[in-house]
Amino acid sequence: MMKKGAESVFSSNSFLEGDYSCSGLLRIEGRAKGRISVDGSLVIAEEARVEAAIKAREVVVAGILVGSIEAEKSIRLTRTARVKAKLFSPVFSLEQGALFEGDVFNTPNQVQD
Amino acid sequence: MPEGLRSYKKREKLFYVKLVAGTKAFFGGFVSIPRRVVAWLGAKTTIVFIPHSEARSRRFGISRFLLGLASLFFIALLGFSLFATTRYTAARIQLRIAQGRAEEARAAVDELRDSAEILMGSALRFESKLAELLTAGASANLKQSAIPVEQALKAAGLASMLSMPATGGMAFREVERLKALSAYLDSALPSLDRITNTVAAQKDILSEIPNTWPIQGGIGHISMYFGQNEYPFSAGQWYLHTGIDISTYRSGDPILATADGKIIDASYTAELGNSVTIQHSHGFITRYAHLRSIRVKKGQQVAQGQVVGTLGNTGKSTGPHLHYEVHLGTSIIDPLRFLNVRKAVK
Repeated sequence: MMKKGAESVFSSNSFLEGDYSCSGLLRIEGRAKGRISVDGSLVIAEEARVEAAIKAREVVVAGILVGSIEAEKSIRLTRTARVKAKLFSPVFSLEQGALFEGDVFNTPNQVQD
Repeated sequence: MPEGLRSYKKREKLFYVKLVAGTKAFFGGFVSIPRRVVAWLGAKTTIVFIPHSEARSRRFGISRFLLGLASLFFIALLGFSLFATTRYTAARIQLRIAQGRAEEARAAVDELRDSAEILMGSALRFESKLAELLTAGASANLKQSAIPVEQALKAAGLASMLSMPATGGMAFREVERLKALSAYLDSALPSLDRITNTVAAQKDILSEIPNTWPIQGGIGHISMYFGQNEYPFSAGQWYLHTGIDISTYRSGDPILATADGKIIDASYTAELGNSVTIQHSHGFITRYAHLRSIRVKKGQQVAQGQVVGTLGNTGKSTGPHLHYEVHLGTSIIDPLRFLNVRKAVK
């Protein structure tokens, strides 16, 4: 049950600090710090550096992340990801080459689709 | 200073101030409008491709002017390609139609060529026949033996088609030959006219010579020829048959006079049965014997083709047949010689 939302991008020279929430797709390419909640997908690009508590439906991490992720559907760490966080999700995927340090908690799938 | 003048001055000043400002604004427009247009056109738009995965995003900064230009270019390209495709398709269809027509035309040409070949063949046969005819005429007239074909044709004013030059290739050769044939036929007309005249002149003579088939409808067959034959009433004995016997396997077929003439005898004898004898011009006499009935009287004038009696089995006969005799002066001759004359002329 995906809500239709806009695509938002923090490009590589941007810096975000504080609470941020949006719906649709959020793509972070710059630096972010704080609390981020997305009613939709979150992509942390390869060049991004994020230090945040994240809530989202679906998260893909390719850059650097410190903090925590609560995903309703899935979390995927690509081979370029550098992650030090607590992960909450029904589905995890960790590609070869990804660096991960932290805890993984399996939560029941809350998304019916 | 009076009060009225002051207020007037004030208004005057206000008017001038407004005038200057308006003029400035008006002329300023000339400068600022193009500048604004350039600014509007120069404004940049960024086109960003945002992947929903970790793949790199891509962005393109482009001014409105270039964007417009690019759109125009694409629209033009699209229009042109549409136009070109349409033209190409139309051309292809026309080509197909043209090919079909060419195919038909080729078939027609082939057919025409075949027809022309057949026509040429007929023409050559016609030429040789005409040459034969002319040669026969010439030799008959000049009391000469056979003249070569070429010479006969030359004498008649006709160049032989056989000696025609075969130049050019394919259809052109056919066309040339057809033209030559046309010319040849035109040149053959005077000769044919002469022949027609001759034939017309001979027609009267032909009707005076016993040269038609004596039975109505041209039916019957020759059951005994002229000349030496075995005597039908006593086997092994030879005798001279003085005419031809024509049988139709039945009695009653009308017997026709074979030329104009006068009936000199119409009577019954034991030998010939009912017989009719006709005296013709040029010393010809014809006799029709073994008739079932006689339809003419002695002294009567008859025309060629007139009925003189019916085929029968009277007299010394073994079955219904016509005995037909031709006399020329005091000699008895073969009737078939004259029958052939008429056939050849026809």
